[in-house]
Amino acid sequence: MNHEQRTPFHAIEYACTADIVPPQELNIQVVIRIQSLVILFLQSITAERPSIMGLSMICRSKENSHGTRSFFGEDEPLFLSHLTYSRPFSNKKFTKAFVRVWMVLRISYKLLEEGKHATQRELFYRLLSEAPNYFRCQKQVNDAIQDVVAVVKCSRYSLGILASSRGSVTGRLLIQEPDGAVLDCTNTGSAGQVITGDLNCIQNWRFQSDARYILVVEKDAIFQRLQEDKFFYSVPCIIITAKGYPDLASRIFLHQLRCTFPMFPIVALVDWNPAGLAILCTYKFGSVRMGLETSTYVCDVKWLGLRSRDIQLVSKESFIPLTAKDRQLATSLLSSKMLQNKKAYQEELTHMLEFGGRIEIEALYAHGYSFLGKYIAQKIVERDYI
Amino acid sequence: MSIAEGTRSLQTLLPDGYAACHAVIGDTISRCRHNNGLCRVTITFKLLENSPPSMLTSFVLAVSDTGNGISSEDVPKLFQNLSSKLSPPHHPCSRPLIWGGEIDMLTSEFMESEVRQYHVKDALSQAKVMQMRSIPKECGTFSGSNIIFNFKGYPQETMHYVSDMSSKIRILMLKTVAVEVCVASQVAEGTFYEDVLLSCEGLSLSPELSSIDRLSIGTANYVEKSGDIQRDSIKIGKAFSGSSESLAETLWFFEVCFAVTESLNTTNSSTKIEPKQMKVLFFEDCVCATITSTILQTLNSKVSWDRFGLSIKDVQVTDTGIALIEWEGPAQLESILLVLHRYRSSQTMLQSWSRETQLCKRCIEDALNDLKQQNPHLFCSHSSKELQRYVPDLSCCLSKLISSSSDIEFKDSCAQILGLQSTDYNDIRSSITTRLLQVIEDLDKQPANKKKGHKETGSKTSSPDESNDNLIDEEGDDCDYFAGNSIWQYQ
Repeated sequence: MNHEQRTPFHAIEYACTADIVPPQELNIQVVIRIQSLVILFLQSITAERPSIMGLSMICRSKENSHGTRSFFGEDEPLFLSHLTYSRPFSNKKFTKAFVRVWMVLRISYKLLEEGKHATQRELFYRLLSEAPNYFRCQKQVNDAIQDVVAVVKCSRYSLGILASSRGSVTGRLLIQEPDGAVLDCTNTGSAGQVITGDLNCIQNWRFQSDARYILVVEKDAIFQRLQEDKFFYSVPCIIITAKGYPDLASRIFLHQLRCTFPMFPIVALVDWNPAGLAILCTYKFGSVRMGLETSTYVCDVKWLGLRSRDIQLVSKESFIPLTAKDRQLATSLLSSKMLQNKKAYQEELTHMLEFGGRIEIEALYAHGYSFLGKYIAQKIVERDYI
Repeated sequence: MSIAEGTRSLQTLLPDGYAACHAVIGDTISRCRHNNGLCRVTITFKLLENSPPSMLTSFVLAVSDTGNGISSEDVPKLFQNLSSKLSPPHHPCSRPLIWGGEIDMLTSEFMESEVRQYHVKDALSQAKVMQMRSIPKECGTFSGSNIIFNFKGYPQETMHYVSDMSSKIRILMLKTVAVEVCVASQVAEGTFYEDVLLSCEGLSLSPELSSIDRLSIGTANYVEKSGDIQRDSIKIGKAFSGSSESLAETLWFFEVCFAVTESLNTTNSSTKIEPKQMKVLFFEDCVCATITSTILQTLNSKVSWDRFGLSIKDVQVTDTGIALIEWEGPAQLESILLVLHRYRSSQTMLQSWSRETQLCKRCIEDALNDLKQQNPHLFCSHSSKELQRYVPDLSCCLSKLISSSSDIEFKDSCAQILGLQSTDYNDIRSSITTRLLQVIEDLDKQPANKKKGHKETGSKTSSPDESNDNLIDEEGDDCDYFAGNSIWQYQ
């Protein structure tokens, strides 16, 4: 693919995305895709010159990922193009992963035929009992599911698999469920309102809000503090956390909010370290690993804090030296395609590396628990985000 | 001091009789092999005293041949560095063979009218060749030579040594040279009775047969005779190569022959596999020799045994110069004999055996591949076995998917592709298993270089790192944390 021949208006014309098949068409489309795959496989082993068909899947690697700035200066999401590769059975390095994909495909096929859904966690326990030699941890199940998405080119939800969610929301938001029930997010406990993993359900939620901002928080502890302090009463906002790297449901939820309230600035409060910026980037640009599913759910999230200018607010004792892993991640981010046009972000990363330390949000508590709210409020009022 | 002790101390001062025998027999066979016609090499023990062969006695060992004879110019060259021409294997004979370093030789070329006589002193070091009075040829036209040693020792042991050497030469089934071992006993004054102990008759085979085919027949014969083994149960794998692609430039050849036997008792297959020993016989210019360190190293570390389902545990050289390779492999594989033969294309001495490692490795792997083509079940590679382990699970998974489908049309299509009448789970699973195993077997039979062409590659990002299998991830299924680091690194 010639990267120089891009149209200036829309850089993701050649993006490859996983289809989100409407529930009523599941049996028709996805089942047929899986059946076709089985038939092709059987044809390969029964051919005149038999072979074991490799699993052709969209390549989730840097060679196939793209991220750029559009003609209008907006940040485009990170997306995958159509480069495919074949996962061979015959290469023993990939054999186990090959079988894992077929095992997940089988369960997915069964779910679709029965019209049911299962969470990834449910899938893990099922596979753990059925094939303990193949699945020993959730990550292996998650990877196999991503592979299946890349093979069948359908989203997880279309495959009958629900993404378990860790996300929570609180603040000035009313969620109306399809059955008419309304959830008031100002009246939740300190853990907030859980964001469901049922993507269909999220997409059917209707929102009402008198907020002015959407605040994305990296850490659950900070989220709980802001909830307990009822921060959303002092600054009209909706607060979301995915407790670290965002899961798909949290990203879709944020995207739904963005679509409903396009005028609300979305600001993020993360630790001042490379991982904090990486989390922000996952909301902002998406990720390669789930590039097929998430490129359409990115949001223009601004970096509120912590940033280098906040160092003065923190005592020296709170500085934690950067680890080798931190430095490696910072270097990778600095050279990443998506940050090439984000000079301010690059400067922050460079500063982190030069400074040699990282700062956690909790360091602001040195000024008292109420300081956190004041800090955020001041930043928002001064529009001090990048 | 006993006689034996006395002779042993004497032996340390004198040249090794066994080494001399080995060198002369080897040189004679090699010389005859390069003759245009057929030759016979006869090794004769002539007992001079009437004492039993098991007693210390004087005897003559004569190595005679019906070759072209040795020209006057070539005679001095014959004894130059005779001892270094071949590396004789150590021998198990505990008792010495006393030899004064002297050799008598008679030789005559076809057109000569007389037989030249030579007496050689210090034959294994700085040979002093003296020409004696020639004998006129009175009984017709002939050519050949006769090299005579006078030994004092135990004829029975020397006979055993020479017979062992000859029985190994028999493996080569030489096309133009017949070797026989005789014992001549004096029955009366000047009258000897000759008894042929052993003969190597490669000449009886069809002249059309190539050298490597002869070697394979000889190897099978050797295995058959050395144990109570049915000829049909011996599996042969062979290969040969020249030192150069061009025949004209080929200075030497390398031949490899494997003879393996399969155990009929398959019930042992589930029991723990015990290491077994592979015997390696090495021949140089048609005579058995001590295996070289280069070849030993090649066997030990260069040959890709794992491609053939074998693991090498240890390689040793015995006192008799034979290499013993301790191996582990399929339980059905009972014994392996490996015969290696390197020989010069002409009589010219070589400076070195160029590309020896490369040639040796290639030939051995080709011979193993030959075995594998014929007996894929015995020489299945480790990686193929690994793949086979996944077949039951994969076929089970696919069969469940097909047979549990509610789409009858889909099930029928699958059964039709597999050539089945029913869509029964067991039938589908069995058919898929058989076909997958067949593909894996076919793939494994392909030579390594061809297989590389078929190899597909996977992407780094998507391939699960098996070493991370034990990583316990959190509930966070969409968590990019692990991938997060790698993702950014790949940008």
